[in-house]
Amino acid sequence: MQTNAILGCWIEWKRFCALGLCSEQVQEQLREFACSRFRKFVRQYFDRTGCTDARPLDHDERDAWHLFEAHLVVKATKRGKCYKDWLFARAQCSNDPALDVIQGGATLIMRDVVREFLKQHVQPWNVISMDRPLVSGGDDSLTLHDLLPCVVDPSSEAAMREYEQLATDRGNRVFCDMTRRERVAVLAKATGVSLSHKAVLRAAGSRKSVLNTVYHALMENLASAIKLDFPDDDSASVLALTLMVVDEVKGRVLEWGRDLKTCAAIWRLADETACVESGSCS
Amino acid sequence: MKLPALNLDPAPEWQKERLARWLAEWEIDRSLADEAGGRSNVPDDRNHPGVGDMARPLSGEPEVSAGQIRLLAPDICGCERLVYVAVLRREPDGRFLFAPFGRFSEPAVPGELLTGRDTVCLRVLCLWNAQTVSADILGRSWLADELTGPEIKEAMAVYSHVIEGGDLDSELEKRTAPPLIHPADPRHFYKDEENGLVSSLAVGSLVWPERADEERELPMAAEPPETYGSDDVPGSGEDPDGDEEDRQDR
Repeated sequence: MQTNAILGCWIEWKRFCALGLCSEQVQEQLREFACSRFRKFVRQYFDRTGCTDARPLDHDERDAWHLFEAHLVVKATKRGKCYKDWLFARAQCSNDPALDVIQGGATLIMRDVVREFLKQHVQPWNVISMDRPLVSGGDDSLTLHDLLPCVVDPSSEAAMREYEQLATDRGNRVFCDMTRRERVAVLAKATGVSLSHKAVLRAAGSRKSVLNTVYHALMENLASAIKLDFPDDDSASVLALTLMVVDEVKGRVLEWGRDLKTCAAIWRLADETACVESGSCS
Repeated sequence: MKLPALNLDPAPEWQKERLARWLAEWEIDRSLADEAGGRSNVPDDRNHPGVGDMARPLSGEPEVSAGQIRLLAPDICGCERLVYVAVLRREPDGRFLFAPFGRFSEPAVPGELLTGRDTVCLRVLCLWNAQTVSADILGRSWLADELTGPEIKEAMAVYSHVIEGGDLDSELEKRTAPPLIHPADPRHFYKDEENGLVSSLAVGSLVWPERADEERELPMAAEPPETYGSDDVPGSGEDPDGDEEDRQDR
């Protein structure tokens, strides 16, 4: 079908508000669109996760389109379906061809539809084990168990002092091994400045996506190393130590970055953010 | 070596279940992340009769008021997804406090509230990401629905908890997210992504000498020019992280 004709299908659907009220040709075109996007995302999920459940591919065009149309209906009124206005408004404010933009937006919606579908039918949450590693890479990977803190009884004061000493020693070692990029990332995080801010990227000499990865990798490696060093301890104790080590590292980084010219802009931003949040700016 | 023993109370079951549900959905979401797609070779059809007036004009929408659920127009938050927001209250200066709805079906981080609504896009309200903006900016949106009185009350209770701390009603607490404590928790990634979602609206409406993200910095006179890092990805090549240069520069 010609581009203008396909665009005309979307326009007709918007005008009549429900696919069932549109011509047969329009129904066929848009159902095929929904089905192809649905299957594309499901296949992508299979390819990336190694899942072998083939049931979702049995969904036909009618099912896929129904899932698409129902996904964002807030209520059964024109107002409740304002996602359709959003699709066309995107086209109005974009320099790209309208069909690309409308179908691009519909594809984004379809991705969420597939996520919802897979969550319900293929990967229900209750098969997620609390002991399953969060990242691939061996027995020292973090698990769900590791993420949730226990509440520490205050009577553990003496034990906490030992933890503090362990944290100081390890935190110093971690800090000494950190690259400048890692330190800048931690500095930004510790001062509440976004890792994507230009001043942070400039100070780190890095792109946004790289810096984000650097920061998270540092934290994952730090946590995994501690877990590896204390294999016989429960996850709550290991987490308690990990948090203290992170605090120690942040403290060292804040000291290090305090007088660095390349980090001056980060400190200014941190001060401005604090000023805005406290409402004390004139 | 073994760590000294601590007396610990474990996390409640509902927190573990909620986190497991969220992680399951997050992992699916990551697997569906699009690879960069190029434009198709369709001819420019912006002048196609019918496209221009298909979206309901924003000028015809009701004025912004507390208690509304609105869908932000795509040209104001610069993001590639639909963003529904709850308008929570009108401030004394005439601006409006609002919070975005999340894209997952479970609260992820503290300050997110399970609303109880069935509609996929309105299941979780992200009070930690609440912002205050002018009616002009927030008005660039379509009215989708209205919050009920109890919904507003619950949202404000969680918002106050985010801002001021203190305890939440226990039933309300069970509709929020587990604490975000571990530095390697994947929810940090999620929060980083969501952080910029609506903050650009708030910056645009503040009376502020310069936008934070447009700040231009001049080099110091005696400072050698900095070179930006290469397009390094961990493990991608020689000194991919610039670590050698980093270590010399510590």
